[in-house]
Amino acid sequence: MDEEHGTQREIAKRYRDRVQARFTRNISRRTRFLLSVLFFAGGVVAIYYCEKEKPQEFFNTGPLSRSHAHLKEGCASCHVPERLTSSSAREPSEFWHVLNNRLENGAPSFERIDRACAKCHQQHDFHEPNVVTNRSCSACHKEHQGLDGMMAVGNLDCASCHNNSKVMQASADRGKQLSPTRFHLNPKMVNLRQATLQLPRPTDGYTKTFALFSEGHPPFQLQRENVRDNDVLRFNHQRHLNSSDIPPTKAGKLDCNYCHQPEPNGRYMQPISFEAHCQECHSLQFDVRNPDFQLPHGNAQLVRTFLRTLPAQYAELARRKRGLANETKINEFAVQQVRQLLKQFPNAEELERSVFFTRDPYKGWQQNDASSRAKYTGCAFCHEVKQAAGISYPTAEITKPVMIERWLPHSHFNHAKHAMVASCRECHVAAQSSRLTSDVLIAAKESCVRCHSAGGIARNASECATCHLYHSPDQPSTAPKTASTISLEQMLLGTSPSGVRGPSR
Amino acid sequence: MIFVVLVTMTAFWIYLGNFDPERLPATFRVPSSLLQNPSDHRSIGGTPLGLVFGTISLGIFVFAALLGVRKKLPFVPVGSVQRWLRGHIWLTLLTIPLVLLHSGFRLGGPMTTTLMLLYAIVMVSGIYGLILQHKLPTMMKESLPAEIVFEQIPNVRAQLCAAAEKLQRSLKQQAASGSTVVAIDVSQEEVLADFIEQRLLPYLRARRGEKYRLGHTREADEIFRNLKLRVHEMHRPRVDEMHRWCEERRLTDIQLRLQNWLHGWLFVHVPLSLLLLLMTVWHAFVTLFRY
Repeated sequence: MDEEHGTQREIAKRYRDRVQARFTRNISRRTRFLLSVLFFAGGVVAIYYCEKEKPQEFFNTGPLSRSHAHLKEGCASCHVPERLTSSSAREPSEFWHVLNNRLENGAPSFERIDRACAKCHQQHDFHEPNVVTNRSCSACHKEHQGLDGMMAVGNLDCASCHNNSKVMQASADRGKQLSPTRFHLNPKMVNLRQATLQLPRPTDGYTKTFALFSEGHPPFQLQRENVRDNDVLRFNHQRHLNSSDIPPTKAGKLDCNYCHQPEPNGRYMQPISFEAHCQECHSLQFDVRNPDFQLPHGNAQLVRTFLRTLPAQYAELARRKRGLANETKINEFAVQQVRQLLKQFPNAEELERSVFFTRDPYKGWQQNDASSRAKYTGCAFCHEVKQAAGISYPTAEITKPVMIERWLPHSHFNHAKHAMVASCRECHVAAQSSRLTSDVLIAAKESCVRCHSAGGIARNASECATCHLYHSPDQPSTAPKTASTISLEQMLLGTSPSGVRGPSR
Repeated sequence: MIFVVLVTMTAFWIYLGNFDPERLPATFRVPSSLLQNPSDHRSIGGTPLGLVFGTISLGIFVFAALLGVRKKLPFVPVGSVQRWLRGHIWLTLLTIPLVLLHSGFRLGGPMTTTLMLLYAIVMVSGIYGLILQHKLPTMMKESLPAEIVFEQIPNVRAQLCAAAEKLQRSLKQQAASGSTVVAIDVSQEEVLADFIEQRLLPYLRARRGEKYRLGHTREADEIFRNLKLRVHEMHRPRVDEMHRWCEERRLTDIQLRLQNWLHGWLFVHVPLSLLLLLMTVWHAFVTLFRY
């Protein structure tokens, strides 16, 4: 080598006659090129393999729930491919159309997935009629979360609309334009055979903006509107729960559970009946000498007939209970009993008046016989009894009481679950001191928040869906309404013949 | 860089405005024209805005891949390679926020996880290469007195070998014809020829010179100093010349090592970039048209 190190020009001079070497084989470049080809080819092979052999595994963001895992067509059961990829005639315009659609509405196409859902879920229905935009099934029912099932609908799903003031305002506006008949109780939520409180829908509907039950959820409508119970049956919770002079029942000390007994499924309480819950104490024994001679219950006309046929009733008593067979003795017994009874009343008309209208006609008997249970004190003691209009004879009419069984029909509740962690009185606080039938003793929202909030023991059950249902059919239920529901509506709207609140006792 | 920073900030602003508006102060509220229609999509990538982020990223990937094509077609008048390279660097850096926002900071399923992994490797190798491309030329300038054209290194090495072999032949001829200086019973030429045969040529022919003692400056200096002492003064310029050859060989070794660092990352970056592009196109196709 003659050349010396030096300037670039000198260096260039050294390689003047070897410029062609620039283009000679370069192992480094060749290797890089080969690697690139190998990787690219490997990628193509991998794509082919995944497409043919493992499409579900490779693209799957997670296992399907058990209920969907059996779908025979695999991914295509829900993810219906675009015509673009399945049709032999592929048109560029179709390609751009799909692309534009995806960029505008996102991918995958929920519209197509929803259609796939509807193949099996025929009963699928959507939200309230005033909803601005119905959401896709997949928005809330999140799949690919594992075999244990689809992810529970979370607060955020609901809050995406209910915590958006614009959406709520639009929803309120839309609701005002719709006929009130479009809004109805969700039959999935309430059993229309139950006596259900159905308050008039607020002007704006249920469109208050909020994020969580514990933060911003409005108080229950019956709290907000200070709803009163217009039932005409007089009942004093304080007297029944706190009085020390009430002797124990057969089931023990009188408490909430004596009257409020849960349905077999534990969700709600069974209707209260006189026979099951009142009669043990509130006997209909109106004749102190004959403990087993009692008035019928449930029908004023029947009571009236009973009182107007007292001799015959006593005769029947003599035959069945006293074991008399001789007609003469039976008649004597009946005449004697009637005579004894009428010693206290000037005539039968007065007796009937007392039975129906007097609130406490035999109070003296109770005082004389303190060890016994409450004797018959007159229909008006509990019921609203009215004189039939235009009739001089004391014909009484008893307003049929309607005891509401569902106070919060927009949500569902399970008493059995709550009974495991709290006593009745912890939620129904006012029951202890309530003296009026008109007091609504349903737990206030604050009572629920104590547990159903971030710091509460039921923090894991504080989702909107814990109490509410999203889906609501747009058509009212065809289930027949019961007389109790109709009466209740009449009562709440003030069209009921009765409007008297229970008096204090 | 300003462009990348501005676009990144804008992208984050629009992202937060659409998906987490509570985090934005009231003064930074996103105008309604930039708000997408409410979307039920669970993954951000599936929303219209997420798709825009994804589409832009894919576009940049394609542009970045075209750099290789541009280099192969120097005569095409579509901007200088340097401009393309600058665009390649800054735009691909811009894909970092775009891809993150497109993914919604989630990995997703196996497909998207693979993509993210590939993307991470490609980006890390690219950034690593970028750092090397900035640092190594300075180092080379400092440690290499005369840089050789990279592709000429094999030729230079071959020339060094040829020169050494030529000198060896010449020395052997001289030894055969009668040496001028004889030390003990061996001629000076034979000493030098043996040195070339046993020490110099193996080093110059070696693929990796650092394995040899001559490949290390201090040891080489010591060896040649001793050699000089063993030969007559008239042969010392030849010893110096051999010393220079070794020096040059060592410099080519250093340059080769640095060049390997300088270009080695491309062995990862280029093939995986191609794979990433292929997989991204597949991902886009499957997501847009199949699901």
